[in-house]
Amino acid sequence: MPHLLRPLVRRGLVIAAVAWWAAAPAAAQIRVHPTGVNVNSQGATTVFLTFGGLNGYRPVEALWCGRLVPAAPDIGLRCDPSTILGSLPVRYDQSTLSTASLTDIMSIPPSVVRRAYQRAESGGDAGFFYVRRFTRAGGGPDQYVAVTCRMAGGGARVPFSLLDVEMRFDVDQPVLFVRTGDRPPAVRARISYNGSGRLRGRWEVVMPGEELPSSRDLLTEATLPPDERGTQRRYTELGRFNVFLPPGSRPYVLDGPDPRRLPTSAEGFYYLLLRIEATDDKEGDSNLASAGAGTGVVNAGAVAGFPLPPLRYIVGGERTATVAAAPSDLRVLAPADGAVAPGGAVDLAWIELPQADVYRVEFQDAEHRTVHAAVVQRGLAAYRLPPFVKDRAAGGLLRWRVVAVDVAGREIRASAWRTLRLE
Amino acid sequence: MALASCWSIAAAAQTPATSEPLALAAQAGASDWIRPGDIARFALTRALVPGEGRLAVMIGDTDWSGLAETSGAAVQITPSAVGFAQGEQPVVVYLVDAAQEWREVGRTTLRVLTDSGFEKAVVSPTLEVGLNGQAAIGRTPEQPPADRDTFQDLSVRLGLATEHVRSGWTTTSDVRVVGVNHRQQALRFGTLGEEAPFLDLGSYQVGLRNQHVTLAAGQNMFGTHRLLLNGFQSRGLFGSARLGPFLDLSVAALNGTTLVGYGNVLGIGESDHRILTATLGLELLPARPGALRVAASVLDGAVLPQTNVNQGAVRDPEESRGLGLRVTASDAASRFSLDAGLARSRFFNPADPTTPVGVNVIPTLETTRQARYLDASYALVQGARLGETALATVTAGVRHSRVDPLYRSVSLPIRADVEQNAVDLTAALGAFTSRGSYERSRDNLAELASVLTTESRQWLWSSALPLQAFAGASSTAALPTLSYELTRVHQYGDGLPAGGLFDSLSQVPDQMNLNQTASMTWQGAVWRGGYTWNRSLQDNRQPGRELADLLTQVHTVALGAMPSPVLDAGVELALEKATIQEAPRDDRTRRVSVNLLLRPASRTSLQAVLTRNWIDDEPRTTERRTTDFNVTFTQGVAFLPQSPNRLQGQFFVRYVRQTIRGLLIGLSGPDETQFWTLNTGLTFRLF
Repeated sequence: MPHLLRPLVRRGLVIAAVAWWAAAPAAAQIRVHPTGVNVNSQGATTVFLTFGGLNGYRPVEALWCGRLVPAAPDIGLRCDPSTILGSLPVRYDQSTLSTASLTDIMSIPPSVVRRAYQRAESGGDAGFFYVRRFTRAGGGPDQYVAVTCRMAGGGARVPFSLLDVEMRFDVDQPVLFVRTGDRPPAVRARISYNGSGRLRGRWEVVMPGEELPSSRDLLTEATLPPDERGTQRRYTELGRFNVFLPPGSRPYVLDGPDPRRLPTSAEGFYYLLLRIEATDDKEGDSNLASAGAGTGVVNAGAVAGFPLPPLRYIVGGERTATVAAAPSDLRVLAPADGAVAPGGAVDLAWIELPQADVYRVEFQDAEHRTVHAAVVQRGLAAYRLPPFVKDRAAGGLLRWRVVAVDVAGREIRASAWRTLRLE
Repeated sequence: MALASCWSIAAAAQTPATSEPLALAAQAGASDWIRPGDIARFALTRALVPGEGRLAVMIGDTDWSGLAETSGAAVQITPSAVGFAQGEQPVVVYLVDAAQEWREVGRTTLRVLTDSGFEKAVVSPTLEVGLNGQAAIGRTPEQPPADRDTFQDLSVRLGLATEHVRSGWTTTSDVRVVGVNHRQQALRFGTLGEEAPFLDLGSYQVGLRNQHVTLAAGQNMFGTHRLLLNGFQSRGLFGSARLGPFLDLSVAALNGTTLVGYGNVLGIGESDHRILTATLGLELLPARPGALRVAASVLDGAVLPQTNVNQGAVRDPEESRGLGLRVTASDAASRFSLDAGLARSRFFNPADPTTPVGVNVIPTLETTRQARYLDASYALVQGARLGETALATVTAGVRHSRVDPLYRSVSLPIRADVEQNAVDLTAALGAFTSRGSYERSRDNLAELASVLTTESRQWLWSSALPLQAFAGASSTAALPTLSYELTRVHQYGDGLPAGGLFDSLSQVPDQMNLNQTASMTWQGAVWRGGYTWNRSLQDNRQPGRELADLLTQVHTVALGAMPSPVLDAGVELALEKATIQEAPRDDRTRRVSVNLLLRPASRTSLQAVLTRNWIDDEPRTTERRTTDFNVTFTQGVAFLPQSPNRLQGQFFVRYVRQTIRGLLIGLSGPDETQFWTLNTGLTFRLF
C-alpha cells in the first residue's frame, strides 16, 4: 500500500467502526455525553463526562488509545491493545457513580497526548479515543464506551478546565508564619487552564478550632455531579471574584483577597481556600438527555481533576516574614511618587499604624545607597527633609520609603519606594 | 541607664545668656561605650531660649531628632527598640531656626558595643502551645451526631531564627517546627495521610555569605532562564560565587517540588525527584554591571508526578536535560534594553508506576527540542520635561518567542508548539501611564495535517491616572486613581484538519473575546473606597456555535474607614450578571459583606463579618440565598509586662452561623439549612 494512502485507509476504518458502533445503540446501552472533544495537543486536558443508562453496570478501567476494534463478544468498541496511550491514573480519578449514571472527570495527562502527537509525527493520525469499560456483577458481556479526542491548541473550542493551580503568599515559605494582629503579605493563585471563560468563586478561610474540609470539599463545583453541587461545606467568606480568562497560552494570576481581610487576631492554624463555582461553557456542557442520564444540561466550566490546595498560614507571636513582601501596606500621603521639590524643601507624610512604636524613614540615591535616614516617633506621621540631603544625592534624585517598627524592634510594615527629585 | 554614656550636664541648671554661643559641652566619659538600646546623653553649653529654634541630632546618616528630648542644657535620646547602629558613629548636633536653616552646634562620637564579639548577633527563639477546638455545634434540620462535633486539638509551634555578622561574614538560620495531635492537621497529611508525623518540620533556611560567596540550605529560589528553570522555589543546597570582576557561578541541587517535613531534609535525597542545575555568568563590561551579560545554564532533572505543597495539577513522571544561553544588555542611559534566550532540552516521560498491570502503554520517545525568545525595548522619549515637575517617557518594544512542539523542561510551566510575535508601546506622562500591545501567535508549528492549527490575535490597552498627583499633597484624600484595561483576543482555526477525527467546521474555533475593566479607587487618611466595573463578551462565530455567546458584567463597590487605630470598618457590594444568549438566560449574583474590627486595647480585639449572597436567574427557575456571620473576640495577656516577648497568653471565642436557603421555583418549597458552631482557643507563648 502506498505510504500516503495508509493513513487515509486507517482513518476510513476508524470512521467506519465508529459509525457501526453508533448505529447499534440497542447493543450498547450505556451512552456518554459529550461524545467528542477538542484537547490540548501539548499538555493536559480535563473534561466533564456523563455516562448514562448504566443499568447495573459499574465502571472499571479507563484507557486512551489510538485505534478502536470491535469488542465482541462484549459490547461496543474497545482499544486496540497495540495502540494504548495511557490509563487514567488513580490519583486523577474523580468519578462519581450514582444509580443510573457515572460522572467522570477525564483528566488526560500530558504524556498521553505526547504519545499521540509522536504517533502523528511518524505518520499516524493525531486523533485518539478515551474508552471506559463497564462490567456487571451479575454477569453478562462487558460494555465499552468511547469518547473521541481531537488534537488542537489549548484555547478556544477546548473545554474550560483548570490544569495547574498553585497558591502562595508573596514569600518563599511553604508555610507562612504570621505574627498576631499583623497583616500577611498578598496572596496569589497561578492558574494554568484550557479553553476560556469566567472564573468565578469565593475566597474562604478555615479558622482555628474549625473542622477541616474534606478532599471532596476542595474540588471545584464543576467537578461534582449536579446533585452534589451546593453541598460542600462553606467557611467564612473573605471575598468574591469573577474574572475573565481569555484563550491563550499563559497562566492567569488571580489576586487573593485583600490582605486586610485575612484574619490574624486569634492564634492558631488558618487555611485559605479557593472555592471555584461552575460557570457556563458551551464546550464543557454535558447533556444528560443525550447520555440517557436524565434531563437538562450540566455546566462544567472550570472543572479540575484534583482538589484545590488549601494555603496554610499559622498565626502566633513569632517573627513575621512579611515586611519585605508587603511593601505597600504602609500608606504614604505625600509627596507623590516622582515629585520634584524646588529648593529641596520637602515634607513627608504618612498614615499611622496602631501597632507601630516608631517609624524609620529611608532615603537612597540612584545606586540604592542609603544617603539619609530618620527615626520618627509615633504620633507625628510626618518628617521634614534636611536641606543638606540634596548634596548627598547625585543629581538630587532619591528614592524613599517609610518603615514601621513595633515595640520589640520588629519591622511590621513598609511603604512602597517612591522617587523624589530635589532641585 | 547606668551604662549609658555620661556626657556632663553640669551646665543644665544654669540660666543661659542669649549672647553665649550654643555649643556642645566638654564631656567626661565621652569615650565610654554603650549598648545599642541604651540612652545616649549629650550636654549643651546652655539651654535653648524661646524662639531660638529646635535641636537636630544626626548620628551617622540617621536623623534622631524625633526621639531627642531636651531638659535645660541636657539632651538625651532613647533609641526605642530600633537601637543605635553598632560601632563608632559620628554625632553632629544642629540648631534649626524658624527659617529651616541648619547650623552646626558641635560634633562628638557615639560608641556602641557589639554583642558577643559579633558585629551583629540576633537569636529569636519561639515556643508556643495552643489548644483550639469546637465547643458546640448546631444544625437545622437535625443530623445524627458526628465524631468531631466537639473537639479540642493541641498544637505546638517551635521556632528559632538567628543572624550573626563578623568580619564580613553573615550567618543566618530560620527553623520552624509544628506539632499537632489531630492527624488531619499534620503538615504532611496531604501526602502521607495516616502516616504523617504529628511533629514535623515546617521550613528551614540556613545560610553563610560574604561579599563574594553565598552558601545556603533549605527553602530557596533558583533559576533565571525562562525556558529552562525560572524562579523555581524548593528545598535544596545552593551556592554562588563571584570569580573576579567578570565571572560568577551559581549551582543548586533541589528537590523536584516544594516540600515540608523532616523526611528528605536536604531536599536532594530522591534521585528520581531532583533537579541539578548551574549557571555561569559573564559580565563583559564589569565597570557597569548589567551592561552586557551572558549566562549559560545547564539542567539535569527528574520529577515524579507530585505537586508542591500548595499546588494541584495534572502531572506525569518526567526527566529532562537542558542547556540554555541568555544575553541581557542595556545602554548607560537605560534607554535600550535587551533580553534574549535560547534553550535546548532533551525530554522523556518514564513509565507511570500507577499504570494497571497488563496494560501495555506505548513508550514515550525521547525528544530533543529547542525554544527561543527575544525581548527588546527602546525609550523613544526619556525624561522629557512636561511643565515644571512632570517628566515624559515613551518606550517601544518588540517580543518574539518560539517553542518547538513537544519542548519541555521539568517543572517549567511553558506552553509548547507556539510562535508569538508582539509589539508594545508604553508611555509615562508624569503620573499618567498607558500601555498598548499587539500580539500574533500560531501553533501547530510542525504543520501536522491531522492537528488543528490555531491563529491568535490579541490587542491590549491599559491606562492609569492617579488624579491626586496633579492636585498636590494637600488634597490627596479627595481625588481617585482612575484605571482602564481593554483586552481583545480573536482566536480561530486555520481550516478543518485532514483527519484527526475532525468532521465538522463547528469543531474549528472562531472566537472573539472582549474584556474591559474600569476602576476608581480612593485612599485617604481615614476613608478608602473603590468602584470596579468589568464586562466580558465571549462571541463564538463558527458554524453551529453562533448563538453560544456569553456576556458577563460585574460591578463591585468597596468602602472602608479607619477613623482611629481602635476601629476599622468596611462594606463591599457586588453585582454579577451573566447572559447566556443561547438559552436564553440571565444568571445573577448579588453580594453584601460588612466587616468590623475593634481594638479597644492593644491586646483586645473584636472582629465581626456578615456576608449575604443572593443567587437567582431570569426567567426565574432557581433561587439561592446564603448568609454567613461570624464574630471573634480575642484577649491577650502578658504575664511579664516588662518583657513583652515572654510568657504571653491569648484566649479567643468565636461564634459562626451559616444559613443556606434554596428554592426550585414552581417545583418545590424552600429548602433551608442552618449551621452554627462555637469555637474556642487558648494559646501560651513561653518566649
